[in-house]
Amino acid sequence: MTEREATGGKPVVEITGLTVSYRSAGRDVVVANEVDLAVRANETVAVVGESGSGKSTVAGTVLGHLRHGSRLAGGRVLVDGQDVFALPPRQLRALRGGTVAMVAQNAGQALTPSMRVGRQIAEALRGRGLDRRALDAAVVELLDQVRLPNPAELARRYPHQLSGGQQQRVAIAMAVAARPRALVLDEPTTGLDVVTQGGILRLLDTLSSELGLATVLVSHDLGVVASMADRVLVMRRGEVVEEADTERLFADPRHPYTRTLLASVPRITDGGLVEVGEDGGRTVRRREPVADAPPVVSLRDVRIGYGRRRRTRRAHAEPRPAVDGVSLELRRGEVLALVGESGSGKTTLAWSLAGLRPPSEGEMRYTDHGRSDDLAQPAARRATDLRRRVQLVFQNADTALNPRRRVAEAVRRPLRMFGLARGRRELDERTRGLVADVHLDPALTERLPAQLSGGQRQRVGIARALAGEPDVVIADEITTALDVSVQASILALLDDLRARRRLACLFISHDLAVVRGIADRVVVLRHGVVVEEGPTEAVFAGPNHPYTSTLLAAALEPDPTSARRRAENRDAPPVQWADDAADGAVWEELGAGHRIRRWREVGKEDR
Amino acid sequence: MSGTGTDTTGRRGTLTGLLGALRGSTTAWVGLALVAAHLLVALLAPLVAPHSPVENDPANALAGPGWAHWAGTDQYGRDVLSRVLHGGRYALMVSFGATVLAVALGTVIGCVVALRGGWLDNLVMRVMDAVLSIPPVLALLVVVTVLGAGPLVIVLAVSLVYTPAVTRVVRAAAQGVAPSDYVTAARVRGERTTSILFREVLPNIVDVVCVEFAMRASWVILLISSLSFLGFGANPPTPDWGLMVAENRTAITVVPMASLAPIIALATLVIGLNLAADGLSKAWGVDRVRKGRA
Repeated sequence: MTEREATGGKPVVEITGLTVSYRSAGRDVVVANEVDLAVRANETVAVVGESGSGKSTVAGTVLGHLRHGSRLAGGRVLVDGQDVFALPPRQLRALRGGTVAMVAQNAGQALTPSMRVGRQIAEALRGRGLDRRALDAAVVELLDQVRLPNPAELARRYPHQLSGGQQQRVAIAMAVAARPRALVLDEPTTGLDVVTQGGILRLLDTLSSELGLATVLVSHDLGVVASMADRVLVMRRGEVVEEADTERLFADPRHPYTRTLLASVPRITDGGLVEVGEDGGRTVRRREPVADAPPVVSLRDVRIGYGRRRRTRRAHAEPRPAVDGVSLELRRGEVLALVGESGSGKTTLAWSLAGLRPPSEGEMRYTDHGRSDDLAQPAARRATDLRRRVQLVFQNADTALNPRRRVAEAVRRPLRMFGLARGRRELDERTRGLVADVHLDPALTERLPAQLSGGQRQRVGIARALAGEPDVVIADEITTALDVSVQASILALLDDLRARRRLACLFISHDLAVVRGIADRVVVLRHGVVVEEGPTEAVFAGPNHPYTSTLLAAALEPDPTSARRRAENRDAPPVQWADDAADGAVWEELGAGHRIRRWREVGKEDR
Repeated sequence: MSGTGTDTTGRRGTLTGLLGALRGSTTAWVGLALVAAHLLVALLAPLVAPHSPVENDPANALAGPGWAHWAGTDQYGRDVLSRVLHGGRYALMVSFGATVLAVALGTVIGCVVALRGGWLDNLVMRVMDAVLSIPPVLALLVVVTVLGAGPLVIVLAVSLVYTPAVTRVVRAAAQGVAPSDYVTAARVRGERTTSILFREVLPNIVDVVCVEFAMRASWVILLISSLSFLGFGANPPTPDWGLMVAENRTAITVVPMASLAPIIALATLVIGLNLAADGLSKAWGVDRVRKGRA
C-alpha cells in the first residue's frame, strides 16, 4: 500500500473534535477526547494504541456506533459528506450497508453460525435488487474476489466448516459486497497465525486499491500497521498523542509514548530480551548461555490422537494424530520454544505434558537427580510430588483465574494442596513472597480477577504456577493476549524467574520475534511433526526447513521499509517441497544441535 | 479496547448480587415482595386469622361476605378468610422441602456429570430423560397410592420428579464453566472432583441455581396443590388451597369466594415466584430458555 498515492480531494471519512464519554458512578469518563481524523479514498489510516486507548471507540463512530451507555459529547463524524450522528435511523442503516462497512476482529463470531455463508453474503447484497440467479453469481464472484478456492462449493458451507482465515475472508467479502466507499478494519488479523495473517493483509491491500477504499485500520500490532498504513494515529487514554505518515512515525517517533511503544515491540533481529528505558531507548539483555544440563523432560516418539480411539465402520478412516511422533528434550534452566501455526499440535503437546491428555503412543519421562517418573499418566494418577513439579501457565489470563476467588486464594490453593506451607501464618507469608516474586502490588491480593488488568492477571497466573515450586513450567502463548509493553515486562519476569529458580520452560508461541528474545532453543512443529530444531541463533541464521522459512518470512516487523521489501518479494513463489524423511535418515544435521527434517524440492506437477 | 472484553462488575457475592438485582429490576422486586408476603402470612396465620380455620358453624354455612366473615363461609360454616390464611402453610412447607431437595440433588448430579462427561454423563442423562418422560402428576399418584400421602412421601416423590429437570439446566450451565482454564488448572493440580465442584464450578453458576430454585418452586407448589385438589395431599379438615377448591367447587354458584379466594392466593404466590425468577434471571443475565429448560 505504500507505493500507492493517496488521491487528493475531499476526505471520505472526516472526524472532527470527536469526544465520547460514558457515565460511571456519577461522573463522566472520557473515552475519546477531541479526536480528529481524515481519510481520503485510496488511503489507509491506522489508529494504534494499547487496550483502553479508545481506538475501537473511534473506529465504531465511523459507522455511527457507540457502545451501550456511551454518548457523543462533542464533535462530529462525516462519512461521504453525511453527519452520521445526525442521520435518521433509516438513512443510518443505508449508510452502514452501502457507504461504510466493517470487518470485525473475530470472524468466527461475526458470522451467523446457523446460516450458510453464501446466504449471509447474499443478505449484504439485498439492496441491489438482483434476482436469484444474479445473486448467486454475485456471491460466487465475491468469494472469488477474496481469493477463496472453489467459491461455488464454499458458498454452501456453514461458518464452522471454514478455517479462521477463510472465515475472515468471508467477512471481508460481506463487507465489500455493497461496494462501500469506506472500510473499517477492527483488528482484522488478531487471533490468526502469521501465515494466515499475511494472506489476509495482502488481500485487504489489493481490495482497497482495487475498490479505491478509504480504510480505517485499528490495530495494536505495529507490524501490521507498518505494512498496511499510509498514515498513523497513536492514541493513549482517549487522546491522540501523535499523528504522522507511517515512514516518519516509525523512523522518527516524536512523542515519548510513541517511542516507548515502538521500542517495546520485540523484533526478529533482537538477540535477546529488550529492556525499554524511560526515554524509549532499547537495550538488549544478553542471553546467558545455559550450561549443558541433563534433560528434565524427555519425549520419545510421542503420538497424541484426538479423543479416544473409536471403532468406526471404516477402519482406515483413522484421523491423523494431533502430535505425530515427536521426540525432544527439555533441559534444566533453559527456555525451549515450540513454534508453529495454529493446528500444528503445540497446545496438544503442552496439555499432554501437563497430564490432561495422555499420549496414545510413545514415552514421556520426567527425570531429576536419579528419579524418573512417567509423564504419560494423566494428572489424576500422577504422584502429588510429580504434579507439583510440572506446572502450566495459560494463554488467556482472563479465563485462567476463577472469577469468584480472590487473588490470594488463587495463589494459596496450590500451596495448601501440595502441602508446602502449614498454618495460616506460613501460608500468608508464602503467598506474600510469591506475589512479590512476580512483582505484583501486595495491595491487589484481596481483589477479584475482574478488578485487575490483563498483565496483572497474567502475573497472578504465573505466581499460581510457581506456588508448587515447579521444575518445569509450560507457558502456552502467555503473552499473546497482552499489550506490547506489558508483554515485554512479563517476558522479562519469566526470564528472571527462570534464571533464579533454574526452571525448565517450554515456551509455546507463534510470535517468532518473542521467541527470538526469550528462547535458548527452538523446535518448529508442523502438523504434529518436528521439522526443525536447534539453538535459537542457529535457527534464525538459517539455513532452514522451507516451512520455517515461510514462518520467518510471514513475521511482520514494525518497520515500513522491511514491509516494502517484503511486498516486492511476495510474488516470488514459495519453495514447493515434500517430506523426504525415511527410516534411519530423518534428519539433516547442521551441527551444534541444529537439525532439519529431510525434504526435497518438487515441481508443481509432482504434487 | 481491543483484545478480550473484561467484566468490570468486580466483587459480586450472592447477597450483594441479589440486592443489586432488586434495585435494578422492578419485576424481581414485585415478585420477591409477593413471595415474602405469602411467607409472612403463613407464619403469622394463627395470630392474624379472625377465626379458627377448622371450627364448624352450621348455622352460618354458605354465608356471603359480611362483617363477621369477610370472605364468607363454606358449606360447614368455616371462615374462608381464616382458611385461606392458614391454607398456604402446608403447601409452602412441603414445596420448600421438595424444591430444596430437588435443586440440591439436581445441582450436584448436573455438576458431576458435566465435569466427568463420558459414559457417566450418557448413562445418567438417559436415566434422567426416562424420568422426565413420565408425567409428574401420574408418577406422584402412583407413589402416593402405594406409599400413602404423608408429607415426607410427597416431599421425596416431588423432588425425585423434578430432579431431572434441574439436572439438565445445571448441567448445561456447568458445561459452560467446565472447559474454563481455571477448571483445567485445578485438574492439572490434581484436585478431586468434589473440590473442583465446590471451589471452582459452583460459585460461578450460583445465579443459575438461584433462578432455577425460584422457578422450580412455583411448579412444585402448583403440583402439590393439584395433588391436594385430587385428594392426595392434605387431609380434611386441614386448611389447604387445593383441598379448599376441591371442597367448594360444587357450591361455586352459591359462595364463589370460597373457591376464588384460595385460587387468588395460589395464583399470587405462583406469579410472585415466576416474577422473581424472571427478574433475577434478567438481572443476573441467566438465560433460562437458552440453558435448555426442561
